[in-house]
Amino acid sequence: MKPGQPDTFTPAEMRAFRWLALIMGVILAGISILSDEPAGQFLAAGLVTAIMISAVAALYLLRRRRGRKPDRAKQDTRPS
Amino acid sequence: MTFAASKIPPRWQMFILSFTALFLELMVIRWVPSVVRLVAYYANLMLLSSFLGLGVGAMAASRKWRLFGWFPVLLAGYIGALLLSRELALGSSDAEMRFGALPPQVMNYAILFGLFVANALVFVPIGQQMGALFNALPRLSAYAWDLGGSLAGTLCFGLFSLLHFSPVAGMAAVTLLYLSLVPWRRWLWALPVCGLVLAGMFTANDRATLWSPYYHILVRDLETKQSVTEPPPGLATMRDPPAYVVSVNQDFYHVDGSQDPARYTPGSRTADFAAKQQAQYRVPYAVGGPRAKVLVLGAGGGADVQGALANGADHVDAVEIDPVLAAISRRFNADAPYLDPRVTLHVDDARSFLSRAQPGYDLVTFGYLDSQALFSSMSNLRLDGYVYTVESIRTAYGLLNERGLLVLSFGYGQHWLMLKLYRMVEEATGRTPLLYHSPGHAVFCVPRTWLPARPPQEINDLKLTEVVGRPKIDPPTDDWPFLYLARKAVPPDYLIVIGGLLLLSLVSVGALRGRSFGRNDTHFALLGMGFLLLETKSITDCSLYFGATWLVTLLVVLGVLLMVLASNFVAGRVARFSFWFYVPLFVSLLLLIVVPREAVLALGFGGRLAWTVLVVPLPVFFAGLIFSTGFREAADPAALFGANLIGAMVGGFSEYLGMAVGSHHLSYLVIAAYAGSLLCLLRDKPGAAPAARPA
Repeated sequence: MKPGQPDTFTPAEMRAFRWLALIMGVILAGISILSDEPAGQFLAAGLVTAIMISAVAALYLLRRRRGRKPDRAKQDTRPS
Repeated sequence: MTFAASKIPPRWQMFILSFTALFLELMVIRWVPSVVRLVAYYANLMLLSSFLGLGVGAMAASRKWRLFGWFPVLLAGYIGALLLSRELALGSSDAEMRFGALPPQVMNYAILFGLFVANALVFVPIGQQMGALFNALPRLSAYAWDLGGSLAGTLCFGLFSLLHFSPVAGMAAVTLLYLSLVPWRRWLWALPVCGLVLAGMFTANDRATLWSPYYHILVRDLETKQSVTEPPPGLATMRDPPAYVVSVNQDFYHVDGSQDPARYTPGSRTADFAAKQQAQYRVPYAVGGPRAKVLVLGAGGGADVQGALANGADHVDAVEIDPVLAAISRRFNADAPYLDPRVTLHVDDARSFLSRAQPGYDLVTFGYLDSQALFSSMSNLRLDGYVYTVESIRTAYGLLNERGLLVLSFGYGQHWLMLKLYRMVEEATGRTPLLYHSPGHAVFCVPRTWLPARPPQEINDLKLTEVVGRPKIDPPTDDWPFLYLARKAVPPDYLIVIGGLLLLSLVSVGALRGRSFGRNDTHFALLGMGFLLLETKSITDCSLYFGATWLVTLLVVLGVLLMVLASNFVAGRVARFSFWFYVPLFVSLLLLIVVPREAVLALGFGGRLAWTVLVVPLPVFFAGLIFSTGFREAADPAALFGANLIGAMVGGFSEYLGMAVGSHHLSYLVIAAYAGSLLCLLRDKPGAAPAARPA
């Protein structure tokens, strides 16, 4: 890693991960359906549901945090 | 050869390398038992030796010498060694029963250890290249691409396995992935070497091979011994229908053929065989009379089902874990038991089915259910581990109606195994089982309340035998699910191989890192150890809750990787490492220990699902957060990644202690590993982030 290089995910990386997640989700669904194992299918459904709920919750929290930023910035600029 | 020589962006290189590593690991583990039979019992060690290779490679990332160009040669050497060791059957001591094993020989151990070393060597170049990328890229980003590649590799292998597994096609895919990462000029000599590897694998494979999610399967004609791919037309109605021997992992498994001697011209080998089969599978009815509602666990080719139908059953629930074995029976069994309208086939793990089944059976029979392999490469448990436990037999016994009969038939190789089965049935039912016995063959019968008539003294070559006194042998339980172990101990052959690999890893780490291997490395190694133990625990727990099927294992591995990926993304938004991350980790670990597995098992399916999805992944998440926040600012990330993988390998070895102390005690080892990692940080410099220090 070069000095000063930020260790965060770039928008392009996030886009790539979203696409990968979508493709992998489709493959997982395909495997679960083709496998014909009821217990495994329910587990797969539970796993996907948990991931979806977590992802939606994370997005909601991130948006709320972003929405608050200007207020915080205002507060920070006030003279103490 | 450095990664800079490739035209592919470094992040995608990381993705491809991780994908390749996972795909190759899983493919080799799947293919090797078809070449060297008894590796099926060591699949877990095969995976751990891959970790050794990757870890050593990552530690060598900053060395001037590059091994990536040598990957095809190392692969060719490995495949060559495998083919030379073909038909090797490694024996065991008296400590463990294996089907088709020979007496132990020092040479066999040496060959087996050599195979693990050759396997590890194949992964060194991949690990070195990944290490170089870790050193060059932002840490969390690199780790996310690594995890993404692992996830995709695992999933794609799952799909490949399900649709049409072929070792040659799999290795061709690995070759293409490798070639995508090396410059064109390298192709000149890499292509011929890879071609040689593919040719070797192609010639080693029987064209008639079938691959199920669990086994390498061959179907042979009983008379001609020739492998076949198609049955003759009109098999179900023809006179003198052929019978077929089905072998898995190069050993006899069962016969698909008619049990009706009336369909055969007397005197032929197949006619004799049909008569013997008919006699063998009538034992439960000779003891207990006709049975209307029957449950067959481990139905395989359907021989027990044929026995039930021939003896007047109205309805049979047949449970078989392997969909390919059931499909083979549909095509090759002349009696076609699975096509009979009185039969319902359930492709499921026997234990999983028992937990969902409704009571009311006249007969529950364990139909020569036996494992010829580990249920996954991630654990040392066999496929039937949770089927042959006191708790499992108790559940099966509870499914009987008032006049029901429990029957357990088993072909055993060693006397202690028969006594162990006896103890297990006795403890589960609280009754002394009727034991019908001939050398190497035992049938245990336990009525729920009473038998309609006095049991016969002899059935075929089986004699009613009395076991005097209570055998002094530990029965298998859900906490110690090792039917095939004579006593609570790690068998010596595992100790030999594990000891050898540990020694090799010590020498490698010493040579590559020497005194620069510090507390931070130990911290990451202990995180790796805890992680693998945790992953294994998750897999075995979920196998108990949902069945030891390949899909359940795949889903747990995916879930664990997703949790680590999620914690890596969260780490990107957390300012720095905090010692407080250890608090929720220990709390969630304690929760998994305090709530016993029996309590979770007693919940309904929904409760078990909720527990698995909501609670089981928690420690993985917090451990991942500790790893990623520490890894983010590491001075030498490749070395720490290598230490983490070596630690994971040690964690995998530690899992074998479960053979001696039971699986519950392994949970304390997980806590000890994470407590050790915390101590490393505290002793180094209290209050500082692990990443802030040099490696």
